[in-house]
Amino acid sequence: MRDINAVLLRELRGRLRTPRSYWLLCGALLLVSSISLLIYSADYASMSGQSTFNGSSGHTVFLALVITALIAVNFIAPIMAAGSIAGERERQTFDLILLTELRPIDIIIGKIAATCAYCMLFVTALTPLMAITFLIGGVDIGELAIMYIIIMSTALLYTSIGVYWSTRTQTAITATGYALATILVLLLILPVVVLVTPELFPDLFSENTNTWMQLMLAIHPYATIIFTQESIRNATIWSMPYNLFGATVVGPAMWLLSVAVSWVWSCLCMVLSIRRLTPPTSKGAS
Amino acid sequence: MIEFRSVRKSYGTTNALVELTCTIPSGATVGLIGPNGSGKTTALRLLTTLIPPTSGDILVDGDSVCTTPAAVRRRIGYMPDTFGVYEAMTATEYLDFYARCGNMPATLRATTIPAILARVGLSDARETAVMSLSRGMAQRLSLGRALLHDPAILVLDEPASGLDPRARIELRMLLHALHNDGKTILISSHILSDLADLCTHLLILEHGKTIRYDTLANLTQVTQHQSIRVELTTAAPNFVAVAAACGYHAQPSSDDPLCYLVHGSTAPVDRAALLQALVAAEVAVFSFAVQESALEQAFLQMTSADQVMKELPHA
Repeated sequence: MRDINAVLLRELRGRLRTPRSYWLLCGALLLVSSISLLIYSADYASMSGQSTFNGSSGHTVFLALVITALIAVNFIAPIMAAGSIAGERERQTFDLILLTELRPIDIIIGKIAATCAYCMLFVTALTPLMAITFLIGGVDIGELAIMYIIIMSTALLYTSIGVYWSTRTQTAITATGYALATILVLLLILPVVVLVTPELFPDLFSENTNTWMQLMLAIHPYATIIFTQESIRNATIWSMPYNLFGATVVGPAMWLLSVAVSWVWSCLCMVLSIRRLTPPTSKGAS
Repeated sequence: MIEFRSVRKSYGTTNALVELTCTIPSGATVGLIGPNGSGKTTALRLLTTLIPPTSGDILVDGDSVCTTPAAVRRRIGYMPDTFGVYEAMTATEYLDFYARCGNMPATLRATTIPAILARVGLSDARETAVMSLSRGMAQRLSLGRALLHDPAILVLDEPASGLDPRARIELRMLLHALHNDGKTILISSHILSDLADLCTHLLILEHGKTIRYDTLANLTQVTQHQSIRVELTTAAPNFVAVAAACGYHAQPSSDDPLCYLVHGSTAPVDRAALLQALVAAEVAVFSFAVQESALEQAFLQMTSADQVMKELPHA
């Protein structure tokens, strides 16, 4: 039987044996549960005389949980991933790993899997809170699964971005800075570009504005969640119509597109990271 | 056998290593000596395939570091000058991690790791956290890691730096045992007395250039007749004249007015004649000995002495 990836095993042990990861997990859970409690209380206060929650309340709290979990993942994934290779360089253990039988792909996959596993631990730890909203009603198991998939795809993408910057820099702090800046561009600058572009080029986007927005925002997890809510309301979980060049075509739902785009970009980051770890071709041997 | 073939390594316009050519026979223990920045670490990193040569090649039992680096890596165990530490890991887990990285099967790991720990004298520290090991124990663990895949060649970069005398002696004994097992060892160090005790060959580098590569015996033979250190209990104004009468050139030591360095034959008969003459001339001799480290003499002669005096530890 093939052994578990050595880098993955070491990273998981290294992380989970230190108090830092315990406190990080506790802090993130406290943040998510506090915000959901706040939403829960506000919704209860706004019910004006009704004694029980309805499905709408459950859904509001559920969305608040999902968005807060996503915000937490936005920070946890790149910060942890950014220290993966650069941290080895700082600890002066990187050369020793390069001299082993491990291939660059093994090292990169081990590092990415370790950070994703930690994010999965965080998302799994949210399950009791999610279960409350599920029991209140207004949320079905399919929606819960879709949101988990969106969060984990985002975690994979942001981890891959963090690892990529980690391969390019000498220190973890620099890699963290670059990774967070990249994610900030994706989350804040991209929506502005998407909103401004149709205004600048009205001829190009006159009939297809909504479709282009959806396609360009497929990499944006928050936009994906908003568009997916619309699909769920319309009971079209798997597919949706797209207006492209005057024709209407049925394509995959926004969340499927988002997951696919996240995976493609993650793979690209992984390939670039692997190339960074591959030793340079020798100029010697004349 | 390791063959350095006109190996050059440059970083931009700076030459870290210039045209290094030498052949290291199997089973040899080669000491790399030279001042800081002389190219010792560069030479070792080139051999371990961590950096590629700018030109030239290194062959390890016929495998090239340029064309078949993976095959070269399998033959080499590398111990860098720094001991990289992972948090929250015991000595056993540290070795287990690197054994897994080397694709060692679980059954083999179960027997190899305790054996390696025993070999480097860390059996009692197998469950000790790596971070809490002393410098000497950490160096031995690092050597154990380098030995995990039973390499034929060991590349050790400054293994004794920062070690206390006891740890240095323990490490030296370990390296002697490995040499006796037939391992080829390349070792860089500033501690020349350690190298003199361990090495069969020496490679002296300065400013990236090879100053000399030869057997230890040949290198030290050149300087064997160079000096005798004579220490006196009281000043003896006639010391230089008595020594000259016996065919020796004496000069007072710069650091001790009651000490003379006498240059000339160190043949036992000649030495005995000198000592006899000094005693007959009522010179109060307290100690009379051939300079202990002939290697230091050789090194000082072959490299720029001023630079060396700045770099060498005053140990």
